[in-house]
Amino acid sequence: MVEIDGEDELYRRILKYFYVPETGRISSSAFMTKGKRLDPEVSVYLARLTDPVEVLKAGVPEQKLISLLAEVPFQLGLGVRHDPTDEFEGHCVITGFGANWKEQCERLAEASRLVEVD
Amino acid sequence: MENAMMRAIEAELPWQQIKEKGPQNTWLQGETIVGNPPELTQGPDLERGVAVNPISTTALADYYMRRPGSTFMQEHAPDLREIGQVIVLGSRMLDSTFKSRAEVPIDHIPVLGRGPDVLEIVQSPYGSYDPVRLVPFEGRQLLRRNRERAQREETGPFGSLLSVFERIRELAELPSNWDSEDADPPTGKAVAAACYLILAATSLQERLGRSVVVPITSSPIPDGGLQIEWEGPTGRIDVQTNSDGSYGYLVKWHAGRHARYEESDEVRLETILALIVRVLAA
Repeated sequence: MVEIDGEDELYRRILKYFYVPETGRISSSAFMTKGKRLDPEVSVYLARLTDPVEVLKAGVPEQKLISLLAEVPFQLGLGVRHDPTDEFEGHCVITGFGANWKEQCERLAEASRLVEVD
Repeated sequence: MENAMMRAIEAELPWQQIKEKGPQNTWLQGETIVGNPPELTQGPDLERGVAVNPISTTALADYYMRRPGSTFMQEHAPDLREIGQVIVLGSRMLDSTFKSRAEVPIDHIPVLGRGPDVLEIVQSPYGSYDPVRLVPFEGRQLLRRNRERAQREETGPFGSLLSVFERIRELAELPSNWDSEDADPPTGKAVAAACYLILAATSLQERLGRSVVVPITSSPIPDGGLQIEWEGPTGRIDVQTNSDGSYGYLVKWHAGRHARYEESDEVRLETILALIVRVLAA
């Protein structure tokens, strides 16, 4: 199990519609998940164990990659759990969303930045 | 209170009179309302703030909501249940509907496009006597019509919505698994609720004499909903139109250390509209 530090960078794969190029804004819905809203597991990838190109390749066309520091979910009272898959050793999940899950999604989005992937 | 309201509705419903007018004025066919007798098609008098049409959608909706299984329903709409579908005649009907809601004054009524709109009457989660939501039933139909109207009215406030509707159209066509994590495509109800919200917010701003501020962006939600976002001088609102057509929101007031958030689900459209106005005016 890999320990995740606040300084660790996390990637999240998002659809192009979540990113507003004119302002650089990322919508809070970029961190929403299907199903149970109060206990979702939001997929992210630990940057130091992940090739961003491969993450995008594994998604659907026209997706983008954003990144944020692990300290952001930590400061919001959320957890980041290492959850490796066969495909991605660096796969993690953000856990612990509460009743204010929309605010938490928004704060994650506000702290995220687009990653330019060649 | 309920008895008084029922009496008022009864007074507004000249059922026998309508029924006696015969087939040439038949306005119910099966379970859908396909037209109104000419004498009943006047809309509410906006200047006086009263409804002058003797039958309103409010009354109709309330009638259906309150009288499932009534004699009238058995005769004219046997398949219509407590939660059913009704075709109404557009803006006048919606005006009447909104007039009955205390939160939206008569002069702040949003106006939907002309022509019949298929709406779904949804029972309120707050009580069976409060049908709070009228959600257009066929979202893509509503979207197409309003995109066409936006194209026609290129220079007006409505025309400024063209790019917004284009975006909604793109989102409405997303396939399953659009996020590579098993997401559902936006449902027709979510699309319709989004279209109606955008129209209502635009119309409301016009009626308030304000410059129309269109949504800054929209995006899908993985469980079949959409999110529409507006931004004002010191606030922002993200409105979720959920897969079942219900609304939720997140409002952010101010920024930085002074930022304050409010969020809720299963919210009345009127509440959402009031928040949008506050955000845009802040």
